[in-house]
Amino acid sequence: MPHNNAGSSARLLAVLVIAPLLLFAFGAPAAAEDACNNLSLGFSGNRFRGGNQNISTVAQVKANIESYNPYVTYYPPQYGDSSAWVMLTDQSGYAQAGYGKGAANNPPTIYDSVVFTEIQDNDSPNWRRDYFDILYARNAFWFQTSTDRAGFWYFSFTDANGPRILTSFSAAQGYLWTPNMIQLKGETLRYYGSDTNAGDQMVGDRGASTKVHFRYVNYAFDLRDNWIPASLDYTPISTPRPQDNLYIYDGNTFAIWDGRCPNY
Amino acid sequence: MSKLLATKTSTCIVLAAAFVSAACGTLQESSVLAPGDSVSQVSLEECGRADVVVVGAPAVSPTVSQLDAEKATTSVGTGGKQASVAVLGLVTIGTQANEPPRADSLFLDADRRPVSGRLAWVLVHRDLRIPTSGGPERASATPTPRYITVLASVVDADSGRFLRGWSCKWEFGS
Repeated sequence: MPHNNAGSSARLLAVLVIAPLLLFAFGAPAAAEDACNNLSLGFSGNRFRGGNQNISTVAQVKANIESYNPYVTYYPPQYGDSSAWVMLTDQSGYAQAGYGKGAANNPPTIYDSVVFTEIQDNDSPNWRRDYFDILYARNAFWFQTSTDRAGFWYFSFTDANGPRILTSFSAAQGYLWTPNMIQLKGETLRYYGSDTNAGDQMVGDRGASTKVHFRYVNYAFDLRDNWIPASLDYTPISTPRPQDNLYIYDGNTFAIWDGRCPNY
Repeated sequence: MSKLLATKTSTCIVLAAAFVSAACGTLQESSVLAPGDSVSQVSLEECGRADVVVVGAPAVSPTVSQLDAEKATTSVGTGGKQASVAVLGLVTIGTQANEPPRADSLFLDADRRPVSGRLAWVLVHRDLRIPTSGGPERASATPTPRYITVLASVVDADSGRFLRGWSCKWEFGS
């Protein structure tokens, strides 16, 4: 078949014009925030920043959380993790909804946060994580975790299109513990870095405009949605990282950010 | 009532080897996905779950290639690498964990479209090391990090959008 230069050019032009549009339509991967400064070899292990409240018969928790695309450690075979979430817990079992990034086998600078849920029976192997929307653009979303305190659980997520159930669990799935605390935290796994690999960034950086705000933290005692504003205790339960910062507005709104990061 | 665009009784040959793309099932007629039905006809191996039903793919070429579907799972932690198992099929996802999808419990995508009989890639990635959250903050020592080693993902074969993922195997590590 004769080669058709005009046809090839047209196809090439179509690819050049249409492909970027398609990429935009599907959600183009966005660059993560810059790596944090002041790298140091330090401790590993999960570190937290945020608030909690003991509520002996709590059944639901929700909050509006800004999304972010934090830098996470990529230092094979060790990979970092950074996330922000709401949680019902008895400090052994937990049910969690939020967004996060876990770097694995890929440079951490080219992909986005993803909505996730996790649920665990009391310190047992009965654990699972589920994934949902990829958050291509920064925004604020509602995350909610709910239980009837008799083994039924569900997680919901609200964006500009409204609320929707992500996943639910019946009592047959074996998550039979009952929560007595709410926790709302930002979390990182690895603090250390090297010349070429920064440590995990706490979600949020660069001052007031991009701190990650947790707003309108509310809880309820049953599934009837009689929401009560939280009165969070911001005293750290464990030792936070030195540069993981917290700004408290009141008992149900706070912000977190990473003091090592650029322009702060 | 939601519908699957394939019969529940179609014969399926499940291949354990990698790349089972469109290996089984033929598009015949619409059938109703009734409450309580369990019609998984394509093996997802260790990632099989009752709330994710996959039936044989129709004889059409997907808009999105397997390679691009794999790339769409990058954010979840696969690095976009080649999947161990890739199934192109008609996928229905429910919101009730480990229970067959019902018309009133269908998972909605980000556009609020029910994922029912959706042409999609179902990918199983093995040999991963995806860190997860540490669970509740405790006064005691921080928990041992938990890593997902096998992960399943569903990617819309027309839009290329990541729809859903879940952990299949995990382990503790340092």
